[in-house]
Amino acid sequence: MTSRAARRWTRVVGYTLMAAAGVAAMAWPAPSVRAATNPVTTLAYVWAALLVVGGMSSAIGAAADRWLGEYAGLWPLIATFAVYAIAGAATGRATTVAGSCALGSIAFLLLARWRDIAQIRREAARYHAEHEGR
Amino acid sequence: MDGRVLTTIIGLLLGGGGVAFLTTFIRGWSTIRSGAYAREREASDRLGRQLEELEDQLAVRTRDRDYWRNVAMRYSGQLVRAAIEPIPAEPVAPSERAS
Repeated sequence: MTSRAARRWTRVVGYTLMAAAGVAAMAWPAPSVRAATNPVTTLAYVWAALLVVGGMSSAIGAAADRWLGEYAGLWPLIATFAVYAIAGAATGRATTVAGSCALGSIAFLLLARWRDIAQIRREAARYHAEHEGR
Repeated sequence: MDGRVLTTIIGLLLGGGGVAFLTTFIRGWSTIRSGAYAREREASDRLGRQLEELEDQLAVRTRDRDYWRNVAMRYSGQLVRAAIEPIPAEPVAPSERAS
């Protein structure tokens, strides 16, 4: 396996795990998110659904080497990890600080990845406009 | 933090995430529909090809530049041997003039 393929499949595994987390969260909602969204309990399931949608979109895109999957799927993931971090921090317990920081950092790392993908999209559009879209 | 404020913030974040998913999907899909390449691999491959083309062009231009420089030096030597002063007598390259 080339290094490029290894990097791609590493991302596939990561995104698939995020989608799996969303499926699990639908069956067993995260206590911190459920508490933070109380009494609008639907939001906890919306959170889980976005995790599934974003994870699946990004995993399929990475597996098929199509930038569209991550380009669209990363934003739901960024939002869900940001929510997870805020929900943890909102508990007010010192024991959740580490977890909230870790989850928040994942949101920012995913945002950095989205900016790379957005650059690819801009380049694809620019290249097509210059060479073929006359 | 007040529970309602927290719920509102979370609702806005989740709503924003959902809206962003739809808008980025539509934007990306329309980019691909217009004919732009869809594979991430093509971006790095294209940059590699572009770099190779630029390096080839640079090699050609460097060879031409060196050739014309040699021609100019030969002409200068011929003029001096014929007791003709070349004009300009001491040429200065544009880049050196600018600095």
